[in-house]
Amino acid sequence: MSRRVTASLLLGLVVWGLLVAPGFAADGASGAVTRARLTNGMTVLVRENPTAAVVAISLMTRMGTRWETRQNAGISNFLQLMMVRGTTSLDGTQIVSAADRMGGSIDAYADADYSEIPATALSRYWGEMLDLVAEVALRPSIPDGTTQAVRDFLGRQIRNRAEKPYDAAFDRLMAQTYGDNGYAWDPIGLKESLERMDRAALLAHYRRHYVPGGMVLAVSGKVKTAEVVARAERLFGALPAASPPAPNPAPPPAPAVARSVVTVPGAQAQILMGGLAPSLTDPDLGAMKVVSTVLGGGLASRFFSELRDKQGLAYTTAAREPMLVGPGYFLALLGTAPANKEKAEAALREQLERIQRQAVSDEELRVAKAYVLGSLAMDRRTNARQAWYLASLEVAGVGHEFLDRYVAQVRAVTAADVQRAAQRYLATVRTVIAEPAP
Amino acid sequence: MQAEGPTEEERQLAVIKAESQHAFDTETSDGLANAYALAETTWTLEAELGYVDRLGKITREQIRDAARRYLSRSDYARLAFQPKP
Repeated sequence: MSRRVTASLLLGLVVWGLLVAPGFAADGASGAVTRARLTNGMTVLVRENPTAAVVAISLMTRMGTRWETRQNAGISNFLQLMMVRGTTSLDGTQIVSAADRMGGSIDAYADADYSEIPATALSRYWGEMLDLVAEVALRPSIPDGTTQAVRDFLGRQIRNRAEKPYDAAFDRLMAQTYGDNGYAWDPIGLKESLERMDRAALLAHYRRHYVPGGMVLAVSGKVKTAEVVARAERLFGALPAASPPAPNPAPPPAPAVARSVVTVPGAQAQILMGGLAPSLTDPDLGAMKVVSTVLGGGLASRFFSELRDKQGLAYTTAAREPMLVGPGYFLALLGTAPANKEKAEAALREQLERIQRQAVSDEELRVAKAYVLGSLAMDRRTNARQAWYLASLEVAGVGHEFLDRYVAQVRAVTAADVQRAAQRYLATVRTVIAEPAP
Repeated sequence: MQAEGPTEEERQLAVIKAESQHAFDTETSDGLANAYALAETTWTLEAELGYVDRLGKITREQIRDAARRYLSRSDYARLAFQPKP
């Protein structure tokens, strides 16, 4: 055995022995998850899943619109797109080709509470794919020549959103709900801010956020935990210990009743109603998830069964209440024919009022809770989604153990909880209607 | 493709992509159930279970021959959507 191999194995054993926390199962359906801290503070989460010969990797960073202002809105996503377009050793095409040769893919994007480099591969290439993820994360060249092309691409995405009825209405609702808070804009950013960003600004953003204290590596698939942790230490361990900047988001405006209309191309009207909702750690999160599900979750929901099936007022229905680290939002949506929009708006408002004044039935509560928990389980079937959950909850500061608490919270929700949450969050909603130009 | 077949590099890449597609399609319970049910319906379970092994043994000549057999130069349909003038 060569000295080099011996040293590598020894490093692996030291990392394993000193820094790896005891494993535990995140839930009954998944394998045990191990959390390790590299010597510089970076977190590594590994879930061994031998059932298929695949691996999914998620490298997340505490960087997203929650850290942005109107002046640099979209910088996180812009940076992520640039990172996957070239490193000091590989250009964008070589990065994609390398992933192809492993039967996988690699991408990069930003969201509100995190930025992610997701990658997948056949499991026999897990090490090489981890090397590629590290290459993209640690040695981006942010090529000057590509910056303008990516900026143009983002500009087209912004223009496209403004022309799509749902996107245009949603962006208006978020802008009104969140004001100057970073949740107010899509991760793509704003036209004015993107035009100001240059390579120097992107590099400065990168250096502030790509530091071990803000980075989480999650790996799920047919891998060995000790090997993953050892390789992660070798790849990322040389980064000097540092913490990312704390977010300093502007508080959202106080909830208010408001109504506005956006005129867009198209043949369908979109009616959106929404406002602030519980954050990830709010005790009302579970109850509000059930509220959202009773109203718009699946084919048994009130929006679908009553507004679409019985009253024929909608082509599409939905309710949404995503998990956000900061103040969350609730969204009710109907897509309808322009001729029906007045009736549909009144009917949607009535649904939001009814759930406040009348407790849900036991059966409706049971079905909604089963839907919430079933959807969560179904969403976590693949290794890619497992890696995403592991990394995103760690970056959010609650850890993947949060899901156990969340499941218990949802199970404990009562009809009275549903009514109280509805009264708290649905009493004051903003309405945005996107309608086709006459 | 009909004249020369793929290069060895192209063959290997195609095999890895097909293997990967199969692996990710069957990583979940529903994906696996679908693959097994489809196999029992349209070919055999044994053939499904040996699919990845067979993929790796496919030669450049076999790919060339399949192209000659199925990529007909005369027996095909062509459809194009064009914007109105």
